[in-house]
Amino acid sequence: MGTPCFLMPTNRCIDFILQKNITLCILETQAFIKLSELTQRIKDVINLQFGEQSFWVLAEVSGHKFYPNPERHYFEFLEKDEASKQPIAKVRAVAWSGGSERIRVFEKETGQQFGNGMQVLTLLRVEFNAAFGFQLIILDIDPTYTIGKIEQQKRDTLERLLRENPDKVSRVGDDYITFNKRQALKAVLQHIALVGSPNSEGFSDFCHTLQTNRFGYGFQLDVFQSAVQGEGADREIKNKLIQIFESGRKYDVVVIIRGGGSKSDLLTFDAYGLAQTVARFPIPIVTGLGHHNDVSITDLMAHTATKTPTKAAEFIVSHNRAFEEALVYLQQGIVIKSQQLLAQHNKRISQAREAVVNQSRNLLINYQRSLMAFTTQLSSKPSILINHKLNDMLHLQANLKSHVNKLLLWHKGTLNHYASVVKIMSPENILKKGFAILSVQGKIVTDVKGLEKGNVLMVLMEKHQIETIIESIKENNGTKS
Amino acid sequence: MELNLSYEEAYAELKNIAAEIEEESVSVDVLATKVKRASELITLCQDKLKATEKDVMTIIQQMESKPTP
Repeated sequence: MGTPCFLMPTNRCIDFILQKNITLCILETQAFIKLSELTQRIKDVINLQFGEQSFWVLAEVSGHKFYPNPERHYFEFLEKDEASKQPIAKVRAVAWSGGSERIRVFEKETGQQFGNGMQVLTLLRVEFNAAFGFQLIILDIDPTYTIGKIEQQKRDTLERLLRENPDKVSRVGDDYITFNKRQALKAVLQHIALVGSPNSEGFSDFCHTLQTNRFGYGFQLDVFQSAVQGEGADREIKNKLIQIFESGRKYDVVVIIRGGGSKSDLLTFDAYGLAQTVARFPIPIVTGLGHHNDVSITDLMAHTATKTPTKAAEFIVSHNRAFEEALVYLQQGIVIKSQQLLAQHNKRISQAREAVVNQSRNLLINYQRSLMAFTTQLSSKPSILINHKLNDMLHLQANLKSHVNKLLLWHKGTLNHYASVVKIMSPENILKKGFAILSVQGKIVTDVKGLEKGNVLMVLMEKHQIETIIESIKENNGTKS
Repeated sequence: MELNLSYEEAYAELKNIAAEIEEESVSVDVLATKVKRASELITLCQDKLKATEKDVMTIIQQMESKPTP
């Protein structure tokens, strides 16, 4: 049985009470009380002082132990001196089922696993248990304080990444562009460096998804074992990355995964050193850190962030599938196009053949036709020509005949006319009509010129001739006999 | 017949002959020669096409029968 003073050395109030009780025992010469009586008294004092009172207290968790069945958290609350980092207050604390339930809610809301090193704001009650001693009972825990704190830390870390790595990390809107993100993914990802904890659920999920991919793709997986949560995990992962880089092996991609389970401890992946290494890493990094609500800084810096290890594996498989689909698409294109091309050429050739056959036949027919036309022309034209000529001749002949007759008739008429005129004008006729012809010395006289008195004038009548001598010549006054 | 004619050359010549015949610019003197030439060119083109087709089909079959990894 230990001395009571062991119970709570840090609590001055209790120290004082204890010392007083011990003094009493000694004074009443060997008189004593049972330990339980003592603890009962302590309990009474504490109850009197604190009762059911509760306090919101800000403190750091250390020496944390968790028992799942039933859920219990045992740990110590610490307060360190800001400057020296030495503990200036330390009290045992416990979360019974009520408090553990609150812690579960807290973990869910903050995405953080309740544990060592965490600054938390808790509502607690002071209790003294006769068997277990002095302790703080967790009634509630405030997630908003922790969330705010984590967010602040994250913002600070991101700012620091931008500030200290201007050539490797930049921000465009809400996105961070890192050297790692600028690394082009190879068309096919097969040689993989895997960083994770082989015993975790996520690790086997990742391996299983890769190995049983339905396309039968093969992968070469090199495992770089590392703790992925808890104290120092960030440095261990960072060292694994350095190891991968220094191995000189040409990995297509580095995958960082963290196993399933509902509890999250993203602080590891918000650490500056790890985030910086990821941002600057020359091989594309794919993350699958098993958290759904929040994105870690490592996720922001990595080439591709997926939600879970399974999703990371699916990403790699579907990336390779996309390449194969492109190949299949090209292959189909080549098959279809070459068949189309062949069909097209076959068609063209048979069209050309048709054209040559038909058109040369047509051409021959055309030539034949024109030859026939010539032949017909040749055989018919001369006889037509001769006929025409013959007709012309006949025509001409007929014309000639009628013309000649006409001419003859005309000439006949004219002759008759002349004949009658001649007949009329003939001296016999004239003599018959009572006219006489005068002549002197054998010459017919129509004028008196040269005639004179005494000339012998012969008067010739139809049946008789009179010889007269001219007695006188007088002017005819125009009377007709 | 020039057997070292390429498909494209043969086809171009064939097209020319067909066009000439269609335009009726081929005289009877050379029509038979032209048609004979066209027939030779058609045979050449068809032979080349058939050979190519066979090759292509074989290659496609090989390509498609290859199991996807």
